[in-house]
Amino acid sequence: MSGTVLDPKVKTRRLLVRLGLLLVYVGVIALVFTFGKGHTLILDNKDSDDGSVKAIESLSVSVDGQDPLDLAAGERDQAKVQGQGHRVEVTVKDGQKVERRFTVPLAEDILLLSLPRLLAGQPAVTVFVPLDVAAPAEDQEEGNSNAFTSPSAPAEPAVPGAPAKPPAP
Amino acid sequence: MSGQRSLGRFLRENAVILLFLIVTVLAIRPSGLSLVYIGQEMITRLGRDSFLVLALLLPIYAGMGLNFGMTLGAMAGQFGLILAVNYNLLGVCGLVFAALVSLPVSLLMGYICGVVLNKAKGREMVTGYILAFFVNGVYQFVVLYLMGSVIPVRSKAIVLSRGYGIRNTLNLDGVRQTLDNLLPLRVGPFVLPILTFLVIAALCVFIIWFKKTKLGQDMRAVGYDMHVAESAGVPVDRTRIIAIIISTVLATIGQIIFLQNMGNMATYNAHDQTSFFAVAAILVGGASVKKATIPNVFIGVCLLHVLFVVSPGAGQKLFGEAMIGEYFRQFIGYGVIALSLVLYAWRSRREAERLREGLRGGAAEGGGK
Amino acid sequence: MRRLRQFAADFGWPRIIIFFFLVALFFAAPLVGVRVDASLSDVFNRFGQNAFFVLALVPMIQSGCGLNFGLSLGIIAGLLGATLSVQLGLHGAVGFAGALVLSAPFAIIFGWLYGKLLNKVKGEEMTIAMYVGFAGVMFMCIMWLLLPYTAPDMIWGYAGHGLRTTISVENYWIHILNDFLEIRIGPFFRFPTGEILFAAFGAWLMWLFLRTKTGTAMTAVGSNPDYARASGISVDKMRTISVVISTLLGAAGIIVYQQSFGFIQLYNAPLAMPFTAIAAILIGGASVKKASMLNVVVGTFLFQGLLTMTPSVINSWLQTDMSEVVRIVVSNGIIIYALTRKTKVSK
Repeated sequence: MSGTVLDPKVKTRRLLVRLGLLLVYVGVIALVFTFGKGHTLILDNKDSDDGSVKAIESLSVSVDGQDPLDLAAGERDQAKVQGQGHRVEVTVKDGQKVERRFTVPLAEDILLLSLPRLLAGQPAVTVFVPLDVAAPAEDQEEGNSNAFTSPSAPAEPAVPGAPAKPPAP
Repeated sequence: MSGQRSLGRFLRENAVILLFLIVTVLAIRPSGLSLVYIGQEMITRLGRDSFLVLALLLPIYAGMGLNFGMTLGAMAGQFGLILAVNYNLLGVCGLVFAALVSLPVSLLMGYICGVVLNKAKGREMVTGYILAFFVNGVYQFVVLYLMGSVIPVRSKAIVLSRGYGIRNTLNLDGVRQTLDNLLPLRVGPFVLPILTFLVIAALCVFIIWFKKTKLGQDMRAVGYDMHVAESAGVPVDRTRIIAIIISTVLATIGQIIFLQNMGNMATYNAHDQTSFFAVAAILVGGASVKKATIPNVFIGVCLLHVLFVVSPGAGQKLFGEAMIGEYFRQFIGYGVIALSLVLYAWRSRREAERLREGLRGGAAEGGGK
Repeated sequence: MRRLRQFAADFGWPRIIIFFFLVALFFAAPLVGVRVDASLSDVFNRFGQNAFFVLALVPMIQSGCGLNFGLSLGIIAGLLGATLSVQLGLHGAVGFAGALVLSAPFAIIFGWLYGKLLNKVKGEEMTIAMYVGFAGVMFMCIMWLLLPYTAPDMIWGYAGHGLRTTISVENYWIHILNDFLEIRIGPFFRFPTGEILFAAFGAWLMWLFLRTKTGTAMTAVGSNPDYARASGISVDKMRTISVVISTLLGAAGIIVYQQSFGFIQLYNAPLAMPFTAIAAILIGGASVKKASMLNVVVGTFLFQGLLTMTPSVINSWLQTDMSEVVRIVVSNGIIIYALTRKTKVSK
């Protein structure tokens, strides 16, 4: 590894390569984040708040090719999606199929999609603010039960697929 | 005459594999499980566990023994998965995110592990084992106390009800089996997770290629004899650290693959058994502390896990208690590691003695016992 | 000044640091609401509990077998003795002595076999010891379920057979040593004189033994095997003897531990115990090749002190229970530190 005449050139090249790798790294993370982010879409078939658009009598909607959900006027349902851009296919009572596309903001988890507004061509996606949902309480308290004991050598091996077995009889 | 000797040698060299085969075959009947079920389990586990076991190859190659410090990589991977779940990232994207985000942690862990092991030359395996427990403590501290309080966690669902600390079990539904199910192939009654297998195959190709590079050759030299390698100009300490870093990163990815197949993660326990299973698998597959090949990995995973699948049922039948099957499983696991280590140590001592006899000209007496 | 520095180097900086840390903890304790006398009492109690385990490591270190990660085998022998003692319904001092006596044959057999095994794998003893220990514990887990114990105090009431995970010795020989000549100062301080005396007795015997002909032979085998062989000492025989003694002490150790702790712990419990003993002796200044009584005493005291004080002070201070995490980090950190030292001989 002795210095040669090319040393400064090699050094800059190495630095550039490393910077490039760093950029790729950050870029891929951003990419998978955008494409992997999961959202919950609340599909809404109600009159719009200002009354300008009416709810549709009965419709069936399929999001991104998932199984269709039936919604009568005033009903709501939900669908889980992944990523930013989505396609929605709505079938109204008289058999008409309408397709619309929309995007979802990256930062939000739960969004409200008003189907009547979507079909009317108005902006339909809004952020949904849930009432405070209590997190499921059934989980055990505290860090942990058995495996904590000091250089505790392994506890029982995990059974595949099944939840961890409770300790000895 | 020589035929007998080579049969004896064959038996001795593959004692562990043979013993395992016999015990496994004997246990299949009493377990009451169908061959199709066992076969499918084997396929699933090959996909789930092989990556982790492959992570052990390079440190053995570099003469550092069984890398019990792979647990550090597993913990880094779990940390990444916690973040992926926190941001509600789904599918393969979530997995890739977890792997990428844990990369810096994994590299750091590998570096620390490598440095520590370099300071404990000759005692790497024990040190690695204890180091895993030590870092486990740090991990617990971070995940149980810092996350949710000092480290912001946006998903309230994964936090303990006291307000900070991650829950004991993390539901991985978002990424559950997404790697496995992306390209499933049905062959008769079996389902093969093709993409997972491809990833594993890619790793095998990487390992084979790596061994041919200069760095790979350096590792081989270091593994063969550190002093000789040093005098040949190989940076011994640095090479060893690199071997451990690679192993740790592979363990991180391997643990992510493992957990996506399991579907949920025992936040504080999932990594406890990682090194145990991987080490047991590679030893059962015929590897030793100094030598391990890729076939060892796959043979070992198959044998070990088939035995693990059938032993609870067999234990139940033979002894009437399901718990005995569990203990039997662990007993076999630890026993096989102990047995392999003993056989290896015994063999290498005999080699050394034979060499010594040879040096003395054979005719002279060896030192008194 | 130079003498002081020499003393420090000999004693080892880590030990000094830990000693001062421990003293600091004792000073900090009342400030966060932890009673010093209760803590001291705790520390002495734990000292007595663990001293034998740490003592058990000495023979094998001296004979060159390394750190006895397979101490679990001795513990198992002790468990067999203890359970048999309860099974036979022995109480009080007889029960305690009975446990010791009953465990002895098991300990000797286990130790002998274990020693023979280790002789065949010179150079790789520690890792193998660990896994042999683990395998042994797992095997015993199966045995605890199958062996024909019948005492109702010990078996699962519902199933009717198979030993429970923890068996109380409250009616048998709890605190039999602790209470002997116990010194009480105030409502919080109990000095388990009997236990400490017993431990001191054991240490004294070991000290004597190391000065006998066999003892010195054992040390010779560990520090200079070639010289030992040339002097006509059988290396293998000495090593086996050291393993047997270690196993016997391990058996005695768990029985002493149980009478103080109050419970016989079966199944997975023995898995973790060798590690705490090893951490203790290493912090006491022992190395993989040499250990003395001073190492045992100082090490056990410092380690158990650390393990008692650190969690309790931190818990009170931060108002949260971090004891497990602290325990893991401290005990394992110490072992790693010791394992990464170049083998230097310290007193």
